[in-house]
Amino acid sequence: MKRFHGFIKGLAIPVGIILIWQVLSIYIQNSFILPGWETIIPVLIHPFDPLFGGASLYQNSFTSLQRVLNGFFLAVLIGVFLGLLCGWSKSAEDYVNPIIQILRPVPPIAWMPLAIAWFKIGFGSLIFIIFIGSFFPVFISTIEGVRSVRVRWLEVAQTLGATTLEIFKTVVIPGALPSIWTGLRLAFGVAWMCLVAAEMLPGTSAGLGYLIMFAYNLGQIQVIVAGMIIIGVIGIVADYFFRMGQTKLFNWQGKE
Amino acid sequence: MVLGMRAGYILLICIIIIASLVLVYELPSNYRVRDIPDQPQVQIVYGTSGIMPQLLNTSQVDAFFVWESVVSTAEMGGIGKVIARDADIPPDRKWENTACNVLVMRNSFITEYPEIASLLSAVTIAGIQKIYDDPGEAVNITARWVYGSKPIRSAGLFLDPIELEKNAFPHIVFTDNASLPDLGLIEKSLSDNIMSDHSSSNTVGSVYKRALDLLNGSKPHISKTPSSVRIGYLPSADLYAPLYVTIIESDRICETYGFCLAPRSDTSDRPDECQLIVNDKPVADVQLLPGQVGGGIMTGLGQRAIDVAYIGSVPTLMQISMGNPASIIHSINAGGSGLVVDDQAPCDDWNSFIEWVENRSFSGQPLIIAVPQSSIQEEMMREAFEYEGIQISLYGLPSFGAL
Repeated sequence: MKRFHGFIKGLAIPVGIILIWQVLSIYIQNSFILPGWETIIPVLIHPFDPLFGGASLYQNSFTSLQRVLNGFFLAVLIGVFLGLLCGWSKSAEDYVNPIIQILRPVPPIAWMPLAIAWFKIGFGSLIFIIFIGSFFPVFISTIEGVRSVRVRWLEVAQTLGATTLEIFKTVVIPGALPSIWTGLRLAFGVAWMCLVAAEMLPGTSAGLGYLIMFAYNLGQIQVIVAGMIIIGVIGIVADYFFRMGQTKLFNWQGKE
Repeated sequence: MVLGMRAGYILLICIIIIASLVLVYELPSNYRVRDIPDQPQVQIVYGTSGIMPQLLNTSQVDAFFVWESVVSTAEMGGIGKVIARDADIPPDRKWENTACNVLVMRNSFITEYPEIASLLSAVTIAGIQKIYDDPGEAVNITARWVYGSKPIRSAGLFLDPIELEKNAFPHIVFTDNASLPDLGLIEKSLSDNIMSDHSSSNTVGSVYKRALDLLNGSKPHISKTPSSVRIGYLPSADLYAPLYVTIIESDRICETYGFCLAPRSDTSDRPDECQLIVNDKPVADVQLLPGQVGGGIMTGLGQRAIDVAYIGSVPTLMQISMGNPASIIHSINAGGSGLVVDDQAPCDDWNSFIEWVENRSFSGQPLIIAVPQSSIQEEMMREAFEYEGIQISLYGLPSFGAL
């Protein structure tokens, strides 16, 4: 019952926004400023119909999801590896940290011309932009995770005669996992944010970012809103799984 | 706690395995060798104009079809050779006098400020006239507006902006009476149910007619003035030279006609604050708003963020067809496009290009041609390839079939 009440509370603001939106759209009467829900909903409830003669909403969403997952997983692989390395070894951090701090504030969109030059049009450059965006949250959270492992745990492991590798495997990595998990959650959100920028690259002819930009060029604001809703829905579903994972896997946190 | 840690460990390993699988699955599919088709094919890739020389220079595309001065940049920068211009593109010189760019205004702006609308049209036509009166100065003004005064880099060379514009200008026909393009194939490639008939209602004759009267000596009668007029345009394109020339040459235009669009400050080569002057008195502030793509400017027009725009004819017609409450006043230019291929490409004109398209297609490696999306260049390529019996597919959309 409590959960149901929570769900209803969570719905209240979106429903309120939809109602106000609809009233304003009737008042403004300009679909370029605020399209009515009667134009947005048909786009959402016909996900298999081709949009602008191209891919359907479903195909665009699936394509984007594939790209986001590729870029995200690549960021996880490299970010976790480098994060563990830099968190564990001061020497590795001394080498890697300056370049990371230089690159971290550069917005992924600024990499677009270089991405095309280095990875060519198509898959490689798209994944690179998403990777660049989601790498840093994973990397930094992993370093923080390793550093936040309690000294007492390490001391106990050492006292019990564990080797460095054993300490790393059995204490450091598991101890860092909650922070890594938070980093993954943040990174997945950032990956979606980078998607629109990535799908503006040449060689893109499907995807939610592409669809949003194409609809913008055609002045089809209702399609833009539908694309945004889909991104939002995928985001909330993913976040739910991340939160659920956090609750189930790392509930030992704070109990120690 | 140990259980939770173990589960987390297993989960991390699972993520790594899934990631590896996804990457291993996805990578080859993007570099898959294509089957040899029955009918010759080309692939179209969408890109912004500025990136096209880079794409050709790095062999990511085999050709691009875009507007000046990008064409001249590639030609003079040693990136490629121009093998066809607008008039060479089939069918049968169709594109020779087709409006490439247009002056467009929001309908509510025209209704509310008809005389201001006509004055803006008139100063644009005056700018076109000025280009033909003094082409050398028009080249200088456009070069400074688009590129500034310093040399620009293209591939391994530095190019003088003035020399670049000198090369580009002869290929552009600045005109206020070019015919509007018929959007057959772009319309067909879009959803049928969102396009409506646009053939009858996109131009506003009265604004244009009044503009011609004003240029012929009729006195302006301004009953109502807006607090500010917002003009959207693409500052990276020299096809809008009439706008640049009419602003920079405003003193002379005011002397001739008694009205002009003058910059607020004389110090900038690319002013963004202007005033519409009538009989030596400012009647309206004018803001120039640079945009990235014509479609975006057109959307801004529909959103009432922009009143007037100098943009491509195709995005304008497409949006008007889809309900954007705007009207085309007149054309700005015709021509100005070029098909560029690598210097080593085995073709020198349209016919030999088509032979190359066929040879490459039947060898299983269809040519990749870059065009700006929803542009007249895309429409021209689509029509030309259909005329030649060549099938078009969109690059990057293999699993959803040809469009």
